[in-house]
Amino acid sequence: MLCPICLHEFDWSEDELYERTPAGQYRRLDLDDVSEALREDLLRAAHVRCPAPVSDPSLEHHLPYTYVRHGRPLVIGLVGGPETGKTHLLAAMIGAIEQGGLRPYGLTADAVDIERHAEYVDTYVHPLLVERIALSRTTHRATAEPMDALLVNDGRHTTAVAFFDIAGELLRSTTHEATRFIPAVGGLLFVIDAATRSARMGDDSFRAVLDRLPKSGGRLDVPAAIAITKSDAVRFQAPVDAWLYAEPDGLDPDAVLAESRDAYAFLHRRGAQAWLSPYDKCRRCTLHFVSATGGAAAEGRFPRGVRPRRVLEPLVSLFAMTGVLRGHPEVGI
Amino acid sequence: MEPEPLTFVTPEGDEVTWEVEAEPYHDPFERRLTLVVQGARLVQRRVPRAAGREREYLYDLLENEARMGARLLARLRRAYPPELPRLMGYSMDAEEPFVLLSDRRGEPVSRHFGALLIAEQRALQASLFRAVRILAACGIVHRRIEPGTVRWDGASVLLTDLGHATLAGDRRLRLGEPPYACPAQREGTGHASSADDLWSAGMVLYRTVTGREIAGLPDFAAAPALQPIHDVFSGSPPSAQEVLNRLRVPDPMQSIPVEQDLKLEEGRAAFDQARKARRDPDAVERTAVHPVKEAAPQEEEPPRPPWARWLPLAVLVVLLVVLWVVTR
Repeated sequence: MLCPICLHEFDWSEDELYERTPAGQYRRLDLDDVSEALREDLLRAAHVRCPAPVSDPSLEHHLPYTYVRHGRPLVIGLVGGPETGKTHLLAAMIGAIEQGGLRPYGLTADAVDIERHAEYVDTYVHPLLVERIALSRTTHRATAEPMDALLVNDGRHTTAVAFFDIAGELLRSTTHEATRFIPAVGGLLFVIDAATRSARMGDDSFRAVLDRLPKSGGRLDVPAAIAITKSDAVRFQAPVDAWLYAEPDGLDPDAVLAESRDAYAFLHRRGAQAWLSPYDKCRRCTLHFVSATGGAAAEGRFPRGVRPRRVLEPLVSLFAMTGVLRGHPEVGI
Repeated sequence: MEPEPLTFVTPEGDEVTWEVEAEPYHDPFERRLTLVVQGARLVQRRVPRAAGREREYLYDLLENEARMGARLLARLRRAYPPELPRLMGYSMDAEEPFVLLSDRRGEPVSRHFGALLIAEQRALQASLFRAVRILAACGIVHRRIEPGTVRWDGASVLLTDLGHATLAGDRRLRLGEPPYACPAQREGTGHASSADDLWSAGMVLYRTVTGREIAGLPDFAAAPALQPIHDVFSGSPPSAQEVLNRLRVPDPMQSIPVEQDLKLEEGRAAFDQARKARRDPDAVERTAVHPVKEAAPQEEEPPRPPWARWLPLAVLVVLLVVLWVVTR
């Protein structure tokens, strides 16, 4: 098992399980004298300790038991500079999943860590979707921990999927503790602001991540999706207008290819070739128009409410390319 | 009316503030404006706060009006047809969103049921099918062509209300009622097509020209003026272009140049090239080398002797000498 926090490979066992106390501490969990039903319930909230040796006890960390019991988890890293909308996109994605948005694709999702998921929903999803408040940008954090993690099931297999959203500035650093998850990623979600005026310059965080991951034959084997966020700012322009309003009812590889082609052309027309480097460098890559909020905020609020559009399309493409969603080998090629 | 500033986004995407003189909202959803500088008259359509809270779909209809208006303008900018409303601007993210449209002409055709002269009937047919043809050429299906959305000023129609329009090929949603909505549209089966608009236009014309209520499929035998559209309700209806041809009306798309986005096409070609390079890098190299290989046979021709280049001149000189000798 690969720990996404410290990249330590370890064998986990059910012999040493922990539970999190309300104060955030971890204590040993004893399941010897409990009924089978209670045991299953306790396991849902149990954690395992990463056995990597740490010099500083404060760096000791735990992983949810459900995160590791389903085999190698999929780590998805959101990559993009500051102000590109990563935080809003992830919150809108999790909100859409909460509302059953994966159902048309034959997928279901549950929280890996119920408490942490509830905390994420309370901190990000609810304020954005219900209170209509614009979220503040990703804050600097000392360590890399997933923002949220879900168990995604396609009817036969379950995969734990963890989302990492790190501040754009930190992604440029090769030494910062918060970017240690990068070599563990199984899928990359590159985020581009459709309305940015500095398109020609490219994105340093893209370069930092692409350069840091191992390549074979000059290309990365890690699948990638490029999400052109804030597409609502250009929603009446062709070809955005043809995609942003389309309601998908399942994964159609031909439509994914056609949208990728149009999104590539859209960036190319804007002279943003530097931002297309993930497409050239990753063996499997798709491009998508998305809007996390449906419109622009005014004075920190969305007066007409938040109406995300197509926020799950990049994620579903990543699921298809990483095998979480089976039966679509042609996506991204 | 006191001039007031109005801030909105132009169809080109620029935010501007213009001085306008605004009439009061007699209808809570729209009012007329006059631009102070240009004197042009516009219609401002909005979703009032209270109405939006109760009926959220009103925002979607207004958004669609702006979307379709922007699409038409982008494609028909150089010769915008009089049959379609022209988008002048919008403000979609405000608490009370609105769109600005060119002022309306004429009045709903329902006021002319059974009262048009033969020449007017023909002009109405031609103008309505021109509108359907232009929408089809822009990939738009109106979906709500009915007496309330077709205005007539005695010379041409104005097809209003693009709020329900969709793109051709999108999945049909259950929409509209008989007789104006075609059966597939009412049932929400298949994909939207300009044939849906042809059906609706045919019904509107029959109702307007004959003045009769429609029950089931209309009987065109009683309306000779409508013979050119006798098959718009059949299983294989004609295209709008074909109907115009039957009416001996020139295809408007021959005189309206549709704007091509060449840079976007260039970007799509760049994608195809990048995808090809990713899938098979060697193929791209081979493609690059290929023209040289094709040119090789020409280069492999045996080299000519140095005197060969002077051969035509020598032949000419010999001919001149022979001619001189003969004439001597």
